[in-house]
Amino acid sequence: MTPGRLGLHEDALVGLQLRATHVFGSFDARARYAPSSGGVSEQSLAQDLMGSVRLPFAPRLQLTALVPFVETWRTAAGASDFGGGLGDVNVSARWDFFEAGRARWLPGIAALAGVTFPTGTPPETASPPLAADATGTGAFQGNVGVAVEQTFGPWLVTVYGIVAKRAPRTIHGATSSLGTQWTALLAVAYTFSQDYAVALSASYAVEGEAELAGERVPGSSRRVPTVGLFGVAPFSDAFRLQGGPSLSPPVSHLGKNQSANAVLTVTAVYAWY
Amino acid sequence: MVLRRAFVDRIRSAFGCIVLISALASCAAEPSLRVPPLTVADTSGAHVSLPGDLARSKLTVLVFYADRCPCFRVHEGRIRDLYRAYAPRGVDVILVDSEVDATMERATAAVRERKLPRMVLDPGGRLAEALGAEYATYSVVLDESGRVRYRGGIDSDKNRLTDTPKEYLREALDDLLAGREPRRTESKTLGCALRTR
Repeated sequence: MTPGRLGLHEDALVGLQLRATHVFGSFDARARYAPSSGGVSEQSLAQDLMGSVRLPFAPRLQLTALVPFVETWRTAAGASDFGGGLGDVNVSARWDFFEAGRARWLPGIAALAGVTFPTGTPPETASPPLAADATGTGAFQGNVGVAVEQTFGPWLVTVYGIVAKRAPRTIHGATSSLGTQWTALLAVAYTFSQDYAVALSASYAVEGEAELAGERVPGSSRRVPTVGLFGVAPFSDAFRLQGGPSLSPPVSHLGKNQSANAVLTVTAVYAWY
Repeated sequence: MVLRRAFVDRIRSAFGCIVLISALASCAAEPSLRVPPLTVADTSGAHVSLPGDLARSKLTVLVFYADRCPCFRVHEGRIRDLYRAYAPRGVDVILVDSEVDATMERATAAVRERKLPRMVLDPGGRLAEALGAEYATYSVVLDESGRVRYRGGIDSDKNRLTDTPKEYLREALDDLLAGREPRRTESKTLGCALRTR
C-alpha cells in the first residue's frame, strides 16, 4: 500500500513498482456511475522507481523519492492515441513518534509530509487527439498527514489521514487551482510466518471545488473511493514482492467527477538493514 | 566558481560537524552498562538475583523473548545450539520475557515444549529498560560483576536463516572466553518490538 515505506529495522530500500490501470467507467458530476460506453477505452501502465532511506542521525525519519513513468492508450470516437513519459516526481517524509506494537494501549503514531513536483506533462499541453501523453497534474502539490497503527498479535491495523493542497497554476492565461483533497485510509493486514502478509484496504478521497480565475467552479468537486487487496511475499530478508488488485467500486454516489479504475500493482523491493 | 566552491566547502563542513556531533553524542551516551539489582522468577521455580547470581558463571547471556515474534522463533534452534556449545565453557543462557502479557504458565510451556533455556519474567520491563532492550532477540552478555560486555543481535539474520550469518553473539563470547575484548560490543537487533507497556 505504501511501497516505499521502510519496514522495522530497514535502513534503505530501492524498488520498482509496476501498475496496470484499466478505466472501466466513470462517476459524473451528480455522482452517478456509468460504465464506459462502447468504443471508449483507456489503459495505462506505470513504472515507479522508488528509493527510501533512514538517516543515521535521525532514525525516526525516513525519506522517500518516487519517480513515475506513465504510458497511456486511449480510444474514443473512432480515434486512438498512445503517449507517455515522465510523471510527477514525489518526495515524501515520515517521522515515527512511536512505533506500533511497543505499548498495549498506545498505537504507533507517525507524521507524514510530501511534495509532488509538476515534472509530468499537464493535460493542457498534451498532444491531440486524446491527450494520451498527459502524465501529470501540472501543479505543485503539498501534503501532510498522520498515520496511526497498532498490532494485535499477527494483525496490523492502520489508519491514515492525509490532506493535499495543490498550488494554483496558469492555463491559457487563466489562473486555476484544484481543490484541497482529504484522504482517509483504513487497512487491516495479517502477517503469516516468515513475513508473508495480506492486507485489505479501503480509502476515500474527497476534493473540494476547483477555482478558475479566483472563482469557484460549481460541481467540480470530486470523490474517489478505492478498495484493495494486497499481499507481501518475501524471498529473503532483503528482497520481497508486494502488490495486488484495487478498484473503484462501481456504485453510484460513492465517486464523483472521477473515472472508475481497476488497478493491478506489483512492486519489487530490495532493502538493506 | 569561487562562490560555488565556498558553498560546497560550507556544506561539507556542516555535514562533518553533524557526523562529529552524532559520534560524540553516541560516545557520551555509552556509559558502562550494568545489570540493575533485581530478583526475578524463572521457569524452573527458582529465583535469580541480579547481579549476585551472575558469579556462578563466567559469562551470562540474557536473550529477550517475544512469544509472537517470527524472528525469535526462527532463532530458537540457534539459541539451543548456543546453549549446548557454551554451557560446558561456563556460559549461562537465560531468556527474558519483559512483555506485558508475559505469564509464568506461558513461559514454562514454551521452555518445556520448545526445549529452550530457562526463562525469567521481567514484570514492568525493568530489566529491559535498564539494559536497553527494545526488540526481541536482543542479547546481552554480562560478566560475573554484572557489567555488559556485548549487546545486540544474535546474528545478522532476521526471519530467514542463512548459511553464513555474521555471528555477533558467538564472536563476542569467543573473544571474552579467550580473555579479549569483544571485536564488536554492539550490533543491530532485528526482532519484533517488545511490548513492555
